[in-house]
Amino acid sequence: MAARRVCVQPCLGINIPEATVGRQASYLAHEMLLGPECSDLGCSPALYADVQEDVDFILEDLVIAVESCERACATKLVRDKGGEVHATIRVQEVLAEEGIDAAGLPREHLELDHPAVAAVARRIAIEAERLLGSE
Amino acid sequence: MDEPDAHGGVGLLVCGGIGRIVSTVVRQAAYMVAGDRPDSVVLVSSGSLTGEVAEALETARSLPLIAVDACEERCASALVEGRGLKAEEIIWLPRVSAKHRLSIRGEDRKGLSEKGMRLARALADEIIERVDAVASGEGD
Repeated sequence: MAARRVCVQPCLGINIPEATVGRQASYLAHEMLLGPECSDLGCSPALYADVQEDVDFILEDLVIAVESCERACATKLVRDKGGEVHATIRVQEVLAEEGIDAAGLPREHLELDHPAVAAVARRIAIEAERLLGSE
Repeated sequence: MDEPDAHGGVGLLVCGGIGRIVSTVVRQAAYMVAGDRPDSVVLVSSGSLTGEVAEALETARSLPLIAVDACEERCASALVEGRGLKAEEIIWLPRVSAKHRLSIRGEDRKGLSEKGMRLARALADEIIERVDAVASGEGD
């Protein structure tokens, strides 16, 4: 039986900086902290459009939703498509705990070494390791 | 919340994906358009539409909508169709890339260099042409 993988599934909003933090943190967690060997990066529009790869991610992997606001769009979409969310990272909560004011962040782009991005990515990685360790 | 106040004008929906470089290009183009036409463009969040957020759906339904697809999966079009929306225009990034002979080979989906931003700018200019036409009632 193949080892379980983690799917990092950000909400991918466009209007608020928290969504940009979540997006960049998902890249950092997937590509660098966890690695493509044990993680996948879920794309919400593609999942909505039933792109097979993204459907496979949420059906086969342990899913971590990365939500930028209380609407929890990633969670809703995963469930609508028949998947289960195994853990949730709430960007606004992480930033508040880190003392980072989201209002001061740009929504256009953040580098991966920005403290907000790094903080959220760390939380994703911690949850991923917890989930994979419990399998 | 990821939904802006709909103040009239034109709604812009880009695919907003994360897996491919082209998605980063259309996202950056969307911000350029919003910056250049702050009073006539409302960014419609694809994430909010996937999550069926009522305010986002209302915005997308109440404004003339321009959609931008980044690749052959055409996820913005899927959202338009799946959520019962009507797009005045659907723009396909690869056509803009070919038209302007702007490659993005070697670019990084995590952040664009000048090369990628040149294509984003070309796409933004094409979107702005449509925005201005739709806003002035000259759309098809």
